[in-house]
Amino acid sequence: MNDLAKIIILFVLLSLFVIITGSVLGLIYAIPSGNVAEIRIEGDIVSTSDLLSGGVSSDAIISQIKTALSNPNVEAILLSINSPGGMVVASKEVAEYVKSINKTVVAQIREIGASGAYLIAAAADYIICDNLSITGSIGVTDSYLEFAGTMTKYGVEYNRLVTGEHKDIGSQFRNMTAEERDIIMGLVNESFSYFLNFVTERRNLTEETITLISDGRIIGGSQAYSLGLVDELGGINEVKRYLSSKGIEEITIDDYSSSTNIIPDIRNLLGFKTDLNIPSFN
Amino acid sequence: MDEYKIVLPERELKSVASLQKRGLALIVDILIFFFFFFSPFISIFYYCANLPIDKADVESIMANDKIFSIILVSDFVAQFAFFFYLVSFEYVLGYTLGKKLLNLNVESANKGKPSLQSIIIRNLSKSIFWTVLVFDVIPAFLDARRRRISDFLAQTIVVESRKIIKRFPAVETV
Repeated sequence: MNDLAKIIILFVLLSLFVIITGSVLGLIYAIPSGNVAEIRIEGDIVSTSDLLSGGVSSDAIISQIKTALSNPNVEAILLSINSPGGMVVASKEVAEYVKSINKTVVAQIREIGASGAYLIAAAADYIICDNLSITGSIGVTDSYLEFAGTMTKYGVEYNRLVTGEHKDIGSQFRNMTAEERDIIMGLVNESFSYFLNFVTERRNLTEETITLISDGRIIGGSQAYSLGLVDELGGINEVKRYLSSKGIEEITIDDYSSSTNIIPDIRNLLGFKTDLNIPSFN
Repeated sequence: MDEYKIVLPERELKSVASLQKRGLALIVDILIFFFFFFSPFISIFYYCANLPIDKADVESIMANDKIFSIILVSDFVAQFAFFFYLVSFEYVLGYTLGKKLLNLNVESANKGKPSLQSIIIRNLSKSIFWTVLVFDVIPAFLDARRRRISDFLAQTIVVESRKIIKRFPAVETV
């Protein structure tokens, strides 16, 4: 076999190597090709979550959005919300981050998108919900059960050993004083003020609407639409139509949410909460 | 009746290849590899990985671990592919295409065809471990046979072949 034949054979073999290796590695390392990244927000919104705590952490949501934004294929973000709300800071972190995104963000409220979840939705450019969705619940709660009376009934005493007068504020084992109530309500009102101002600014709400929603009521999808809390009633088709109106063609949606908890219902059944009484959008 | 032809005798003269020619041959090999193998590889790889280079923003790519790993993987594979190109051509033919253009050949220092092991050793610093190539080349400037450290380890030398024609032609019976 002369040298020219050998050169041709080597060329062909190397070319095959290149084609096969490139194809296989490309398929292995493929990034999502869709131009719309779906981020699912399901369950309670918390700062940190683990297997038993349930819900979805703000860190996880923001990380998923960042991953989506760093994919050059992604032209828009779809927040698929099915959450009753969650912790104040966690909800705020996600809302502030969503507000800072410079790509089109559309929020689709599914069954429920209330309280902290609605705060996040309000940060989006466009909100779509079903007419039967539950939203609203614009408010803050820091309610907790107090067992002082029950303990007294059964002869259980609470030995209060504290360095400061309000060190055990919010303890479930003694009655709350009026001063302590004022302190906690101060925190609650501060969080509520942020929540209301954020929603008012993002949604351009009227005074009448603000007054109505300030009592923290849940609001159905239809009423939310008439009040201006959402932009459109509908589902995924309306989401696609809106994205098309923004110049995004051939919409392909990829789910960027990793699976979170495998037993979220167990936590809800057992009613586990943290020991600290923390205000929450819930 | 006998027929005769005038023959111009040729002789192949081999001499140690200069570092300039060897460097030029390497550049030619890199260009050949880039156009015929690297570019198609990258195009196929990035197409299959759904990575649209034309829309890529460098800052966002660097922030995306997966995309950054794609780039790293393609870089590693390209280095290995170049290594295979160098080794396969030198082992099968005794030269790469760049060397062929400049009439260079790789030979064993002990005469004859170098072994596969030798070919592999001498090409590591030009591909996979290219970062040490500069240090690998330094001894070649001082050595009479222009051997890099890799050539010492592989027991190879690179020679330049030239065909020379003897002054007096000969007559041969056909």
